[in-house]
Amino acid sequence: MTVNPNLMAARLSKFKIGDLALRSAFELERARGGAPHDRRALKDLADALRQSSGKEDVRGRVAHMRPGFFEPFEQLYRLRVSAEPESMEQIRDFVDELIDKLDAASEAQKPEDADEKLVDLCLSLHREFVRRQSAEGRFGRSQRSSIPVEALVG
Amino acid sequence: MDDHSEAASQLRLSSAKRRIDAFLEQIGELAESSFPHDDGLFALRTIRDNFVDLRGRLELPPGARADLVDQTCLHIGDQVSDYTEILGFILRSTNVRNPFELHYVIKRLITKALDQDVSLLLSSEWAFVPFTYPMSMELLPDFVLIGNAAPESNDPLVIPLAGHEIGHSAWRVFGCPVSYSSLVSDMVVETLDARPGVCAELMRQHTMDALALGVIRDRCSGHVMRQLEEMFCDLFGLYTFGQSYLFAYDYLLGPGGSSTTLNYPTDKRRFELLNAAAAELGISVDPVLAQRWTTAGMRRSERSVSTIVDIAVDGLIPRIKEDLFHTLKSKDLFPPSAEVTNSVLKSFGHNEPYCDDATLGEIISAGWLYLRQNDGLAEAEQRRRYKVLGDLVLKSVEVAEYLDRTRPDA
Repeated sequence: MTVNPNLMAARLSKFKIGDLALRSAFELERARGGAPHDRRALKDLADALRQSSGKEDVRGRVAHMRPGFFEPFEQLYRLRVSAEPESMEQIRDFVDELIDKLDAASEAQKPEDADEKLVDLCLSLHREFVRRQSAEGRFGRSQRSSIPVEALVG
Repeated sequence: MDDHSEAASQLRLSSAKRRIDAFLEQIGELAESSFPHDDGLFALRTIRDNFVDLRGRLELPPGARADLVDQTCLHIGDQVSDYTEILGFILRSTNVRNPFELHYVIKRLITKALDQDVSLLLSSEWAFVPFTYPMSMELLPDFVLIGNAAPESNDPLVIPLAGHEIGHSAWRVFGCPVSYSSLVSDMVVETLDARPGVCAELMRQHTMDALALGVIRDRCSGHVMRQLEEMFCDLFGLYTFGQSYLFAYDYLLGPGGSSTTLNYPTDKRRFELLNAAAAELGISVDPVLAQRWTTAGMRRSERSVSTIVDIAVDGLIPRIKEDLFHTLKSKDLFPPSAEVTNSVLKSFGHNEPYCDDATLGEIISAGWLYLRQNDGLAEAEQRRRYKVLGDLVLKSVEVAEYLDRTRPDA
């Protein structure tokens, strides 16, 4: 084990992906409305998804997704594409397509290139990666804490 | 979008902005406090800069989608709520109850172990949630936060548990989530394949569609990863603090039996693994303490997952342990020396602080050994001696700091 030079990958969390997804939705909406916008969030989100969704390893075999990340992607697929996916490859293909769309959107120049469907996808991504977890603990149901139970020594 | 919806969106966005403004104002007031170290002020500035950036991005053109506005407002509410707790932590880190003497040596240990600058906040907390780490603190990735319950916050003997929290930072800095990702997934697949009965039971519990197996693998892998991280942190604490980690751990959590969740090895198993690792490192342990640890039962619905997770974790622990110990050794970090610990103990026996070079782990281990030799020092007539022991530990730590600061290569 050595210190990993790619700290972004090491520090990548579900929260980070959710945060970038919301930020991307925000910037796309600003672009659609003709307001000044910054598309770097889209590129960052695409990079974060690339790092978490698994890719070909040195043996040429497709590695697994980051543990714990498959289910949010699977939920997103069921919500946005089909309630009854037929194979795990469909989920991976769906994430790859999403990455391609984000890459393309990050390089688009005109406001009309900002796709409203991509805003939908980004919002859903944010919900699956961040909101689903935090919504369970919102005020009125149970106390929400930034210091989750898992963070305790015991 | 109709006028009503537009007005509602505008109000919600304005409310979110006002919440951030109030939050920023609070940071401004806190920044006027007197900070014993720069780290607290640095944390405030880092949080402030992030929220200023967030505030600056809250402008949407007219007619923006209502669902985007609502989701953004919820997100900001969560952020403000999360970091308000952190602001409280930062404020309490300035309280004189905190053992400021420990700041330098702990920070030095972190810097040496992680090979990078980190900021450290030690705080006295009004909850018996003694130690926290920045798991959900995305805005402060280079900070380690250690909190101890107010009644015991100036007791240096519980500080070894900070090793566990530093371990969480090490887990990320060493790139473990990336390094072990495939290993964990492969091990879970292998374990599920080798136990078709358990796998079938898990499939029965899920919707019978094509993705059930994928979801089961993912959930099991997620739990394995979390358990490995927890054990990694325990092993980090053990390696750096030696015996004192076991004593402090037992003091705080012994004899186990707290509710069992899938994200942690069971209490008893954790302590057994620690004891086995201690033996490997040549750290003296009390076998009776380990025998008396217990574990609460696992919920019936989680038993099948637990079976898979436990087997996979047990299979991977040796690799995690070997990697961690090797990495720490390569950074010239070693477990506390028994010889130095005994020398420190002798000084304490003469009611003197140790005046030579010793690590934090050696000093605190000696403190625990002294306590054990003297029946725990809990009786009324012994309280003064317990206080003196705490002072001896802290003074010895200050000597170690002095020696470190005046080293020719410092």
